[in-house]
Amino acid sequence: MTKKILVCCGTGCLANGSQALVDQFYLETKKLDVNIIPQIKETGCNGFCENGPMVTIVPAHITYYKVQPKDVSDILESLDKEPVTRLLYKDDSGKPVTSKEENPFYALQHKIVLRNTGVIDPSCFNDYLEAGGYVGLTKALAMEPIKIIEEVEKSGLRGRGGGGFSTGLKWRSCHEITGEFKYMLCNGDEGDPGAFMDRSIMEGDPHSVLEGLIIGAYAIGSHYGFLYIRDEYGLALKHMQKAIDDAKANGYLGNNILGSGFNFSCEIVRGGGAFVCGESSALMASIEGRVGEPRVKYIRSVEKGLFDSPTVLSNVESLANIPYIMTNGAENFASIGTKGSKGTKVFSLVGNVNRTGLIEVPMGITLRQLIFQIGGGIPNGKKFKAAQTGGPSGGCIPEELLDLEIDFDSLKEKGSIMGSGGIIVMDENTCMVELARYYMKFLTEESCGKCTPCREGLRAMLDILTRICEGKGELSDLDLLEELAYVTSEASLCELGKTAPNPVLSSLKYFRDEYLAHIVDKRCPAGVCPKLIKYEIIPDKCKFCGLCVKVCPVEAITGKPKTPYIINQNKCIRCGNCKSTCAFEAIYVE
Amino acid sequence: MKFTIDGLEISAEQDDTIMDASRRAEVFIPGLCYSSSTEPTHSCRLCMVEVEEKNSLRLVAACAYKVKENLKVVTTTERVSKVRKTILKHLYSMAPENPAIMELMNLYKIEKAPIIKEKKSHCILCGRCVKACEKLGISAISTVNRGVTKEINTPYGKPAEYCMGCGSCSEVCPTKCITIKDNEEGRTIWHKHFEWARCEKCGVIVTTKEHFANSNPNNTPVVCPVCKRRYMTDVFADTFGE
Repeated sequence: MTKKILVCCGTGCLANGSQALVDQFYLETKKLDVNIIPQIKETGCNGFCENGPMVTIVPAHITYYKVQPKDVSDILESLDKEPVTRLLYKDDSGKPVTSKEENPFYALQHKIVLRNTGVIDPSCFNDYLEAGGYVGLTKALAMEPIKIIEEVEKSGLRGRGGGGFSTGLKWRSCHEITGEFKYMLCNGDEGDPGAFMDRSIMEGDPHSVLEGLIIGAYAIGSHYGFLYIRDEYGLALKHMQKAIDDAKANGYLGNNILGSGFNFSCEIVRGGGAFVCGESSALMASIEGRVGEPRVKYIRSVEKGLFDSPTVLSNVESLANIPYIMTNGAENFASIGTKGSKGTKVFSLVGNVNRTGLIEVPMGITLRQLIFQIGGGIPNGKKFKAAQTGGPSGGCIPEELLDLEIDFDSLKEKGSIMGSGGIIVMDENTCMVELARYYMKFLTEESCGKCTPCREGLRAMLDILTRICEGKGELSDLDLLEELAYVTSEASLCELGKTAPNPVLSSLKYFRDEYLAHIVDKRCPAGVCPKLIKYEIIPDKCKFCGLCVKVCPVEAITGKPKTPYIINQNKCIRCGNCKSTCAFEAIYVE
Repeated sequence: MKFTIDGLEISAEQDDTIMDASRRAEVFIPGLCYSSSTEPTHSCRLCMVEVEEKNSLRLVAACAYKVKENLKVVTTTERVSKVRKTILKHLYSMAPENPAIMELMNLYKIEKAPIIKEKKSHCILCGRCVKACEKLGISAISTVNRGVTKEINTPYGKPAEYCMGCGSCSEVCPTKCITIKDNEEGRTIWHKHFEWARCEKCGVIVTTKEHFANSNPNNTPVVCPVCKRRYMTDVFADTFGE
């Protein structure tokens, strides 16, 4: 069997220089004997981006991390010998591990959506076919549409965009409506800060999304579809377009797909970068060429959606699950997960955690497993404080809920949401009031501004939180925050507004003492809010090296030779440069 | 179709929203973005009421929710009044002391306290002006930007090519915040100046030249309604004799 060298060319690894690595592999393999030349594949994201570029050798299943062009010759030489130990990942005990399965980052993962990502070349149609691609579609086209819907319903798949609505039920409602034109849409407008699940799927395995879309279209009786992908996702757009072209050329898209008599075409619409356009009705308005504003939904979009025709909108990750369900059966899919949430979920694990990246885990895994086993705990021996799930529309989950089994319902019950799957881990040095303020700022800018409670409510909450962070808060502000949050979530027009107060409400619920410290003691316990802290130099520890003077952008630090330096508090802008530069830990936050 | 608002029975037509039917029956539900003459925008959210669905109460916008037979609408609950009160406070922060807002503030006995102290343009972004312009087939104005920077304006804040200075936007504005400057020479609205179309007989202002041209066939003489009646009397007299 020919050896394959899989070079990760996801956006993260590309940024770390994997293109140069690929070039080097091509250059050096030219020198090898023709009979043993390994095949070089540029794959999608492997998820462990911070340790990229990653290189995997198959069939030996050896994975190397942080590979540089200079390592290429060593890797090629070792192909029939022992692996290159210095490029292997060292597990928590310091032992080098060869395969991904032994790497603690991958050990608990279960890949359904990402089954091909990092394994195949996303721009190669045959790779997808060889990996079992389009088997699901072939199977589906031989079935009655209603049977497909029953299968998807039986699998228990729920929309991965955040709403968690049953995909099968959505398809059924649209299937039952008679209409000449129906649309099948894919939502690839991922906009949460710190989330990159959909991007990685579209970049790494675009055909699985497309196959899901075609199966969905056949099930509901649609002949035209759109993929709404945000314009910032350059590589995803490129790979998706290539997938559409290849599928068309090979008879998987267009008229009379695989001789079944079913016609379906689709095109990509590039999103203009508004967070709100990830909301279904705003997304449809945007495709139609109107202002991206949501509308009221007492009439569902399965009845009247895009161009007032029956429409189904599914998230990238939901669609990527469909081919797996069709190929392996609903029972197989439903055997994974919890009672109410089946299958797996892709998360982007980021923030103050040792191992960050893209992971796919079975529903029902606990936050503790996610953060401490996969993520390897909090860096620098610091304490875990909270994890924000669901992005700006989600809430924070405190330490006492670390053993919560994550699924759609459990998170909602605790005041957060699953959202599209961003998990931001925060350590003890995170100020929860500042965090809520950050999210309110994001949402104030990203709210479409159509309805009063969302636009004005968020603005008012941001105003109050800024005041609290500056030490100008009053106790009555907490009641006002709760009132505003209540009305915004009750009266807003769309889900963006309805879920927007979650960061405020959840931090008020779990970290009220921090709010009180800001308001009553005028103190930021985490030492973050600039107006409430000051940097001081401990005279005994100062070694007069003068480094802090050099990095201070406002010339606030002064000192004479051989006397401890002093920070001028009137000039200091609390940037923290001096503290992070000081080698003697002579600077502290008060 | 019959339904009730706070126990009061009201009749509704097919496809009526709660608001349509209640306004017709003169049962008051507050709503500033609602107007029977323009397409709804559902944006001010003042008209939130509760409806009974599957034995529980659900908060919905009266201007968007379609009436069903025997629907029970409740407007007196704690939830409704809480939402209404906060939204009115928001509107007050946007348009302090504006008569339209003050009327509602007084009605619901809400103390005057803006949540954010900032001078505003009095525009509450209800979108009625945009819908009126759209209905006239002009669409010279629309909402611009998003979030807190959202405003109503012409494209790029420049004079809109198709604006005809009719002033319909200002007519439907609940807070009367669209600036129209009229003088002897003409009218200025939305960064654009219009000359008057004056009556050829008596010289009074009929409307703007563009508005007149847009609403009449080519070469129609500009005549004010008073002169038109007088002119027609002459025609009748010529035809049928005095």
